[in-house]
Amino acid sequence: MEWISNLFSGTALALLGAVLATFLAGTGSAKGVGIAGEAAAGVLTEDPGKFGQTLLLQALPGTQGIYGFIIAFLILLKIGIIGGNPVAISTGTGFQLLLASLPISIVGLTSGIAQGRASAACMGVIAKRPEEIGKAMMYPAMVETYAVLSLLISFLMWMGINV
Amino acid sequence: MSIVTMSKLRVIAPLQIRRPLLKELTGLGCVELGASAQRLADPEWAGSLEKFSEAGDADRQLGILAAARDLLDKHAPTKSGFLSPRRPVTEAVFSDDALWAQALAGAGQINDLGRQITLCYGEEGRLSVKRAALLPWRSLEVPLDIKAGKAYRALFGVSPATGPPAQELIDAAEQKAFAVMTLLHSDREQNYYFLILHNDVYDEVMDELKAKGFTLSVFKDTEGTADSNILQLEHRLKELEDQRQSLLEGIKALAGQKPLIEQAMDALTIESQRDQVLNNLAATRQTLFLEGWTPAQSEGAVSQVLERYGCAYGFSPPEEGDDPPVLLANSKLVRPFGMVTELYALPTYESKLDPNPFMAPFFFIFFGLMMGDIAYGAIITLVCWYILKKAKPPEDGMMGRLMKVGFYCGISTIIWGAFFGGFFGNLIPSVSGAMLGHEVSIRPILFDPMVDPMKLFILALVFGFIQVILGLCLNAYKMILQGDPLGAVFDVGFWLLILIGVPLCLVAVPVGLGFMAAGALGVLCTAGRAKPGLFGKITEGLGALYGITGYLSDILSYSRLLALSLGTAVIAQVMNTMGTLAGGTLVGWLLFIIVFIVGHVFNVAINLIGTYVHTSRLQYIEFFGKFFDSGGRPFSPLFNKTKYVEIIKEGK
Repeated sequence: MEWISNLFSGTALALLGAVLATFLAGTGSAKGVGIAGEAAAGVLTEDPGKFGQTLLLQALPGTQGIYGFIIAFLILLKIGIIGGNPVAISTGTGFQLLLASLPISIVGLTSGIAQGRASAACMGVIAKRPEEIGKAMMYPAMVETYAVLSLLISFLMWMGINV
Repeated sequence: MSIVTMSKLRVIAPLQIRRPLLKELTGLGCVELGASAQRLADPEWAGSLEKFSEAGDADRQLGILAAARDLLDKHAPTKSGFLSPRRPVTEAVFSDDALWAQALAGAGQINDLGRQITLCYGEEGRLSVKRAALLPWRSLEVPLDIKAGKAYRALFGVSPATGPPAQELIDAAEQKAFAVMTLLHSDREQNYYFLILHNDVYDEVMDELKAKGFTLSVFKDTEGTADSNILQLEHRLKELEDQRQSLLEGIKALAGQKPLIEQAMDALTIESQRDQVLNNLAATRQTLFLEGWTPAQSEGAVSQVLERYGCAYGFSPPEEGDDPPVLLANSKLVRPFGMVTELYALPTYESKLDPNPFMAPFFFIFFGLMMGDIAYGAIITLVCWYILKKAKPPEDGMMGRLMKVGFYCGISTIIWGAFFGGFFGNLIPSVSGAMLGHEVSIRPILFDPMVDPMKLFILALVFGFIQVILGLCLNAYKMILQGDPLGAVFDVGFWLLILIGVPLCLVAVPVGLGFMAAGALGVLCTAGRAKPGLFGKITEGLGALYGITGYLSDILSYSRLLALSLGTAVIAQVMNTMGTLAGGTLVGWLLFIIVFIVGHVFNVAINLIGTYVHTSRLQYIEFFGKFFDSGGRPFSPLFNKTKYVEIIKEGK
């Protein structure tokens, strides 16, 4: 039964948190950027001069993955996996770190995809009225709000957990 | 600090002075012409109006100039970065007809050279094809126009490379007497032969060869051997290339005409637009009717011009049913921020309230707070300053104002960076601790949000509270301006009581509660005043009270100030930690430099987008939502819009 206690060791749980943050938020961004990219390519076939504008819109859903990466990095830093001095942490602390990773993991996944869809829809604005990019950027950016908020909560939780 | 009062302008002018008159009005840059074409549809007017069409030559000339400019760009590209400013030109030079003529002549010359170059290319292409066709026969010393003898024929021919091998054809031909066949050349597609046949065996041999894929080649209009022809062609090609080069040199020599051509393009674009404006005007056989808007303060300047041209004219204030355009006049400091409002919408003319002076300070503060880093602020400020200095974008254009907003907000970012102690995030403690072995920390003036996020959270809500209250006050002010002071008390005053009661509770609970109760009672009693019946009034009042949740969520929305501020700092910190992972060794420093540059450039880029969007969003939704009547039509006067040159007014 040693494997069970290994599985539920603090370090393993904290690592699971880092895994989820990178994996879920990264998946959200990858999907979002992909969806936006498909629409961007359509606009580009009509007018290659709009590359810069479409790229900007495509990049918007990319931030969730970065937020997830940040939380994962911070968790790894806290348990000493980065820096070379792994700290032995209790199962309880590991579980807390896992919980801290969940806001950005889950919201990163869902908001990344949602933001990608909003970006893709706004590609139509770039196609027909490129001068309105300022407004077109607002819609996907509204989705971003919730990713930022979940990053904030994940971060505040991470800050408060003492190892 | 306000929406500019507009005057409606009506002018009747003799038709023959239309162009100079319009030119002067355009130069003033403060007259917007309405579509008088609508008058044509009005039956009362239509009887006396005539459809008038101004057929100018500007579009054709523009075509010539644009073609010449493209040729210059292609053959004699000038080095000009994307930051090169527009060339300053005085008014007199800009409208000098002789210069236009000179530009047109130059453009004509360039286009002529361009045409000749195209011809050269065409001829070169034709000759190259001919040369390529002769190349396989080069080794043959027999003239290609060789005459057949009495009994013999000399023939050229080919067979496909995919067919039977060449030797097979040769053997097939040479098994007859009096037949000689030589393989001259083979390439990937064909084998090339020369053969001499006696007349007697001609049909027989040819049948056999044709069965193996052989076809005859005939050289028309070619004298002498292939080699001599090729040499001739090569000579001619060289000549053509020389000619083309000299034509190109000719174009390059005319590169100096480019500024003149561009200036003329600007002038002609304006001219062509003028044609369009004229085509939309109402006119009779002898007179022209202009109708439009001008700011009330420009009436003097406009009437001066109109007097000079002997026009009949009149100004009048906007009437009910008119749709006056909206122009916002602000101080130099606030004006660039108008761009933020314009991206959203303009206020209506009737609302009489210009949001810019109230919005600008918040935009300035919030942007800096969210970026909150001395170094990032310095980068933003310097980049914007450099672009403004170098490219000199038009002051009232989108680019010019965006850069100015960036410049100011960069300064705000530096200030907040100093408050929060951010310099590339935590670069100084991080590098000194991990790589130099002795941690140096910089003390923030206020507090470090990474250590004390709660303080920043409260600060954010306080800012939100202030802006929401200000939005409500502006709504009351607007209602009073529009002649509804009671509405201002009922719909805004009571809400202010409720909202101000909240922080008062922190000081003295009974006073605060009293404020809130009085406000709530007021809202309950007055919100439904337009509804019939007591029941209707009460339900409406209760519904309005539920609006408290809206105010709550509005103020909580300002917590994004904290979120984005921490976002910038956290990403910066992560970059610094990654960069310093390898410690103070040589490899460590190399890693640090790479991570430092890539990481911080990335952080500034994504946070610029985020900060800009969220700062705007707080203005648009939480602030403008309280009082803003959107839907104004922007004032778009006739003015000399130029792409390449900047017209300098004389005497300034």
